[in-house]
Amino acid sequence: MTTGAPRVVKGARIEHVVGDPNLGPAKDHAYGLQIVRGALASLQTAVEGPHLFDPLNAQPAPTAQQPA
Amino acid sequence: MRFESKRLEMGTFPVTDVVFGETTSYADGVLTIAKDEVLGEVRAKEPRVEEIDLEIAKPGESVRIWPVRDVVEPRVKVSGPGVVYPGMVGRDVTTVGDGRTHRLDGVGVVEVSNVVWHAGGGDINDQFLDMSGPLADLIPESKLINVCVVVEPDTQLDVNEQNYAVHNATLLVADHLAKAVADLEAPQTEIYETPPTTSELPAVVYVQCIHSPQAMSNSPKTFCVSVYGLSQLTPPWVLHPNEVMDGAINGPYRTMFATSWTVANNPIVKELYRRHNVDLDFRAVIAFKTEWTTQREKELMALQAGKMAKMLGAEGAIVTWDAGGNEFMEVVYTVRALEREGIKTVFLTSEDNPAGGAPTILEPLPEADAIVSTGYFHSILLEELKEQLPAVDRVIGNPVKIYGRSPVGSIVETPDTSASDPTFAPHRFDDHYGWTRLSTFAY
Amino acid sequence: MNAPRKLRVLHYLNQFFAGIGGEEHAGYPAEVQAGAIGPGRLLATMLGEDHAIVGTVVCGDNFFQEERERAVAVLHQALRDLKPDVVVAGPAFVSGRYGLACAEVVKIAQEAGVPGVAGMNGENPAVPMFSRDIYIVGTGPSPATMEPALRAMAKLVIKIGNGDEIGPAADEGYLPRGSRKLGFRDQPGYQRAVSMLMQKLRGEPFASEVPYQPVEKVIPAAPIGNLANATIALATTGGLIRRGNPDRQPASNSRSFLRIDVKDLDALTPTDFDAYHAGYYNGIAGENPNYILPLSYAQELKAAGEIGAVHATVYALAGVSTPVAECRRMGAEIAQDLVAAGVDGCLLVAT
Repeated sequence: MTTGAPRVVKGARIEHVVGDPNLGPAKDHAYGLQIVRGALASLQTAVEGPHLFDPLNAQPAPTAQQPA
Repeated sequence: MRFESKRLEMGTFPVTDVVFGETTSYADGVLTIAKDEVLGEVRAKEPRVEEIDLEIAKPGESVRIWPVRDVVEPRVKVSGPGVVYPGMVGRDVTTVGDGRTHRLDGVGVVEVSNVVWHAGGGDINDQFLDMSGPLADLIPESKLINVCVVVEPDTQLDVNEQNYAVHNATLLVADHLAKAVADLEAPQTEIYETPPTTSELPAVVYVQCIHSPQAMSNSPKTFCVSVYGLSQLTPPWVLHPNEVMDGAINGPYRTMFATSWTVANNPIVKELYRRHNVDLDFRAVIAFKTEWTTQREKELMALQAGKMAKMLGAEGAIVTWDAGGNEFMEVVYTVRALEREGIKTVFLTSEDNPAGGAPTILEPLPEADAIVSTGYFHSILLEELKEQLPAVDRVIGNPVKIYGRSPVGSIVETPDTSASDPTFAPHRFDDHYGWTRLSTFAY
Repeated sequence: MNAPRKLRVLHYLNQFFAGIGGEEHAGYPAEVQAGAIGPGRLLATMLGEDHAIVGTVVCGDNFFQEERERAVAVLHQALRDLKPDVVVAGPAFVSGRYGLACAEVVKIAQEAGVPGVAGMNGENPAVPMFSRDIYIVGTGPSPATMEPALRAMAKLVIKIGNGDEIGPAADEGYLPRGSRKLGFRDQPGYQRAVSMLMQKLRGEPFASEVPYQPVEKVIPAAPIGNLANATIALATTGGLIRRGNPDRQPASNSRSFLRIDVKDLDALTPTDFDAYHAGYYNGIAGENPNYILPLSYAQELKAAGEIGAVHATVYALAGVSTPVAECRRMGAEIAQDLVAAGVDGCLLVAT
């Protein structure tokens, strides 16, 4: 967060950021997809400064965000 | 919370020379080592060792010791529970820090071996000791008379077993040497005692952040610096300072400032003890393991450390660390957690390359407002170390200096050379515990 | 170090400290007065008999900002006529306009070959703008601290005027200019740590050896309006490499990044790709590189119509022990690529 990067999205773990092999293939895939969707949702969200997005507690993806 | 009292008498035997001889003994500052006897003892007690020899290196000699895995100070418990360096490689786990311990001052037992730390890739050991020259001037262990245990294990063993074998061999040699002074009267004795106190002196804890190899190696059993023999990621430990004096933290990480020797002789622990009951109340050491790999774990451990310090009644804290990279996060979160508990905190750390006006610490937090800097951790930025170190006459250990080879992937980045040739200092110079006066200044 | 000499010093003051008047005279036109005036007289005594304030440029704070050309012309004339060896401006304490004027005066003189010193409080808005370019002596917040301010400024003025080597900021009294250098302190680190703690516990002033440097302000890019039409690029600092590392990427201290063509790939496979990064255990990502660069998910979402396209090139390097300056350069190069390709958004995976 303190790199100044405005959109920071929570992943799983350093060793496997987008997904978790411990969940088994099906749940790993669902988790990874959720993280990527969360990341894409952050690209649609206006932010003022560094903001942490949590794909597991995501707001519904905005449909018609006005550019800042 | 009433804090338990511990009392440790530390008897110091200064060593001015080390020679091989008939019987292992200490007299008038001279340590004599019965080489065949000690090697026989080690072979008998540690059957995983295949080759072992002892060589002596003295300060000022044109000698390079390579590869250096650890340096251990010979110490022995004369009375009181437990053994020194407890829990390590199968040693007794009884809590230490009471009774009487004797130590040989001015001697290092150097673990010299080609064993790699783990099979996970990365973490190449590039440490060596020069006994003279520009590097020697900056490294505390180069000023010791170094008894080098040149040891290789059965290479068929699992890599962790190999590590335990060579470290055990080193500890056994250290035990043997220290026994020479177990029954003697010490020329110098210090008492380390922290009785319960109702004094008004501010209570201080020392938070020592220690690398765990668990994440990098993907195993909780990997050999590295340990607390009571455990190198794995654990929540923070509350240790009495005397436990640290008896070697409860043992084992190396990746610089000559992170060896068993520097940790047992930690100048911050000694300075806090020196001022204990003078102008501060040295309450505890909190050993904090680092390299958690999720944000929540990093934050959790930091918050817990802050809470522990608060429960111990701390009003002030000093924080150090021995690692780099993402481990900085939980370390600086700990500084923040302590400050948010109202505990005034000083953070002692090295800095990163300032080139291009870059910030020199990874995560600037306003709570880290009292920083002592030990300079940049890149050897190449030091005047003394930016050129190659001179060639040496004699090498103890491996005559071939191996660069940049990962055991996994075998990507060779720099060709091997003769270990006696001129060579650059190890990449990282990181004064974790503030031994030197090296620092940085704002211009 | 040059042999000390008698220095000719030019002083800069605003309308208030020159005794003209307050805010109502902030439009006072720039002019040169002979010798020292106002606080310059105290400064002159501190400089001692060896050095002289040969003149004072007086200028209203508003005049300097609004009629800059004329003010600068007066300054240049003073530099030509009086031939000072060194210029000193202020102290401005916390006055913003005065601080800016003082800083600019010193900078302009510097560019004309005359070194100088400005004095103002660390909170003055001119400080972050000018501290890298000129020496600014840090002062207290108010004119009540005039004497120590002038004393510190006098000391530095003499050194700078003589061309002496200037030491660390804390020693010489100037505000840090943004660079750091190695050196040896009087005491070892462990003693300094305990001493600093005791100062902090006693409520005594202490000086952190690494002052807090606030985070760089990054202006967020505007959000993507329509994701279904968007081209998304992928990048990673997790050390993605082609298996076998034919590109000879290092595992740390990266100076270059990889461009990998993924146009015909549905996913990153372990037969073709690997992870090589010295800062984390690579085994898991080596078995499934999509953990550090989620190509499989991106392609899946494209097929499902949730995004418009996946950019044909992915970007990879090992982000550990990489000097910040190199990171900035590589980031800018990657951004240039993406902008040229008309990419709408980028997901960067960090480890």
